[in-house]
Parts: sequence; structure tokens; C-alpha cells
Amino acid sequence: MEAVQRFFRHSVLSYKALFGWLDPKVYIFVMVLNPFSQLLFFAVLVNYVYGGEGLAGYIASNALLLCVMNSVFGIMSVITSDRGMGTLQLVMSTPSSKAPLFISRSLAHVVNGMFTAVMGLLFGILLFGLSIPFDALLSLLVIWLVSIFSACGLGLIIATFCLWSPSMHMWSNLLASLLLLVSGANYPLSVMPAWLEQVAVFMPLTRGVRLTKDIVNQGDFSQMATLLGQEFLLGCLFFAISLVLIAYAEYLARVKGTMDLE
Amino acid sequence: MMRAFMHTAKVQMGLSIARPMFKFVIVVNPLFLATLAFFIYGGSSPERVFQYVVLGSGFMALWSSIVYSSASEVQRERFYGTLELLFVAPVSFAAILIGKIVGNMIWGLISMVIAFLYLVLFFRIEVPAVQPMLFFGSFALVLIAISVFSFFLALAFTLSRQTNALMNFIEYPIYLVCGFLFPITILPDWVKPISYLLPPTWAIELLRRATDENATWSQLALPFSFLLGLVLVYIGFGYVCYRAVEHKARINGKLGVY
Repeated sequence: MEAVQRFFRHSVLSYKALFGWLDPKVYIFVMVLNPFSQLLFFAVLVNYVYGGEGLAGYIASNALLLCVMNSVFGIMSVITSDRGMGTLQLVMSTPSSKAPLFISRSLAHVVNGMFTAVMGLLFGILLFGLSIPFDALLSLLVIWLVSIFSACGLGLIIATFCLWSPSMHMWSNLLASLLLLVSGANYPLSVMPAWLEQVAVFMPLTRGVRLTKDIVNQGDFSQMATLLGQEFLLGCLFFAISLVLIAYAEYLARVKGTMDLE
Repeated sequence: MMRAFMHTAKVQMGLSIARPMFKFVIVVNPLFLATLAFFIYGGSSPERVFQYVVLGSGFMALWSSIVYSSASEVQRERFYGTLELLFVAPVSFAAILIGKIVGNMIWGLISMVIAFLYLVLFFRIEVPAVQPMLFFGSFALVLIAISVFSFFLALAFTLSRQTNALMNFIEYPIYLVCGFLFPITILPDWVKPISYLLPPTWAIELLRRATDENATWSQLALPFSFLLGLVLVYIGFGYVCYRAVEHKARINGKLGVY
């Protein structure tokens, strides 16, 4: 029980310490206004191009995208924040296992991502006067949790790069751009070329976005079990790879002396 | 003065592209933006695809390069601890800042060209036969307007204590309000006055009209005049901000303080 309490305590403490929570203006700009403006931009764009067809699905997909990006960026920022504050070496040299350590430090960011996504979805629904049935909302919650789990696995893999690479912003933006493009959140999946579909199979979010659109636009739940199962397995695979990579990146950081590089 | 300006632009180009994030913004980001815009507009007419995908994503690439370079340039020098040195150099700080903006603008232009070539070569988008005088005349004014706007932003951000948050925030609102990927006529009426006060709105409108095969000077007159007017206004705003930064530096002694 003490271990579980420590896990959550650590999560809250590291979030407060590393995110600059002392200044609410930064939080409002980065975690509220920026995601909302992104959601609004794509909502206005797809509403114009597709004449309002399937708009609710696009808005819900973009809310999911924001949620995932916030969670993944949060995981990545844990390592770079520690590096910026000069505490990364202390964290890496503790005798504790690194996987639960980083997962607990990421947890608050996942919760924060969910909060932003729900706010974003409400914002989009109110602004465009859309309606989503209550049973669809419950299904969306499950789909989003599994999608976040899967995306966080990939985020943790990329986060390990930050131990040997000084370019965290580049890696995180590359991942964000890739997810934005490949997920199909802003266009019908039918326009995606076959080669990109092959890439999309191995990316988190693709199935989450497809299910979100199916459920919100057509009330179609038929693919839910299959696609969610695939997404969960993909997430497990990502986490397994990330555990190996954390150990390898830790070794690389020690050998190359790059742990504190900015 | 001219020599310092030219050297600053040259050094700035090297400094900017040395940052991995800026390399990503200049080389890789335009490809993502262009692909996404093409997928969204894929089924539209060739004219619409050119106006909103080619010009729109090119402008998004240019704007991203400004957000991640010129807009935060003074803040970056402050972070490096070199801002005070630049400020007391015998050459005017304004000349150095303009040199930096021109250096970054060249990279932004390269980013636009990458997006354009990628769309034309990879997705076989038809390019209209533009009239060279109209197009290049308009394009020159667009580059001047964006440079003046960047100068204003760099100084306005310097006066704020939230440069990083503003830098991260400003990208999508400008895409939205200035109508990079759609006409601003679809925006709510209360948003339009804000759009009209921002140079990128008229810049992209001018380029859209200038790339029309049957464009005439009279068709370009409205966006051209508004953009020219805004350039003069933003030069005024830039001057006021410059004096405010100078005041902060000399009277309050807070130039290098966050």
C-alpha cells in the first residue's frame, strides 16, 4: 500500500515541480489556449472543406489528438525538465527501478491531457452546436484511455532518445507531426495512400481516431472490440520496447556523457 | 552599418540552422504541412488546391519558421547572455535585429520553396501560368511585410516576461485568423476586424490574387494598398516597441533580466 501511495505522491510532486505550475499564465497559454486554437483551426478548416459533413467526428478526433499529444509531450518533458534543472543525474543514479519512476512522473500529464481533451471537446460541441449521445461518450472514454496508453508507450520510446540526444523539441515535434498526419483526424481515411496506411498500422491513434469517427458520426460500435484489442496490444509492445530502451539509453548516456547536454 | 547588417544576416543563418529544431521546422515540417493540406483538399478543383494547399501550406511553413526564429530572437540572445553585448555595440541594435530577421527570412523562403517543389513534383499539382511582374512585385512586398511584422513581434515579445509561452501559442491563432488554409469570409464577423489588422491576412490574399492567370493590377490594388499601409503602421509599432526596449535597458537596467 505504501508503494502505491508513494507512486501517486511522486506523480503529483514531480508534476508540480517540473511543469512550472507556480505560474498559471504559462499553464493557460500552453495547456488551454494553444490546444484550443489548434482544435478550432482544424474544426473551421474541415467544416469549410467538407461542408459540415462528419464535423462532430472530426472535432472529437482532434480532441483525442490533443489529449494524446499533451500526454506524450508531458512524458517527454519529464526528462528534459529534469535536465534543465540539473536533477537528471540524481534521478538516473537512484537505486529505484526507472520504469515505474518515469511512469509515475508521467501519470499527472496523462490526467492533464484527459482534462484538456474533455474541455476541448465541450468547447467544439458548444461552438458548433453539435450533440453526442451519452452512450457514445462512455465508449469514447474507454477508446481514449486505450489510445493514450498506446501513445504514451511510443512517447516513452522517444523520451529515451532524450537521454542521449540534446534535441528533445525536435523529437517531440516530429512525433506530433507524424501523429497529426497519419492518424487521419482531419481527413477521410479513404484519401490516405496505401503506403501510408501501412505506416499507420504501427502508429497509435489510427484506430482510436477511426473508432471515434465511427461512433460519433454513424453510431457504429461493430469494430470496437477488435480495434481496441489491437491498440492495447500495440501499446503493450511499445512499453516493452521502451523498457529495454530506457536501460540502453541510460547506458549510452553514461558512456557518451550526454545526460546533461542541453 | 551595411557591412554589419550583411554579416549579421549571414551569421544568423548559420546560427539558426545549427539548431536541430530549426532544421526540422525548415526542412521536415513543410513536408508534413503540405501533405496534410493536400489530403484535406485532395478532391477539390486544381485552382482551389493551388490557392489553399500550395500557397496555404507554403505560408504556414514561412510562419512556423518565423515563430521558431525571429519572434523569439531577442529572447534567445537574452538566454545566451549576449543581449547586453549586442545592445552596447557601436552598430545600431536595430540594424543587427533586422539583419537577424533577414537571415531567418531567407530560411523561411527556402522552407516555402521546399513545400512548393514537394507538392508540384510529388503530388503533380498544376501550377498556373503567373504574370512575372505581378507575381514577383507582390511577393517582394509580402516578404517586406512579413519582415516588418517579425521585427515588431520580436520586440513586443521582448517586453513580455512570457516569451516562450507566447511563442508556443501564436502559431495556430495566426493560421486561423489570417485564413492561411481557407478564406477569412467564413470566419465570424467579430473576428474579421482582427484579421484585417494583421499583415499575413493581406499577404496571402495578395499572393492568391497575383497567382491568378488573368490577374490585373486593378485586381491586386486592394490587398496591395492595405498591405503597404499595414507595413507603415507596423514600422511605427516596431519603432515604439524599440524605444520601449531601449528605455527598459537604459533606465530600468532590465534588458537581460527575465
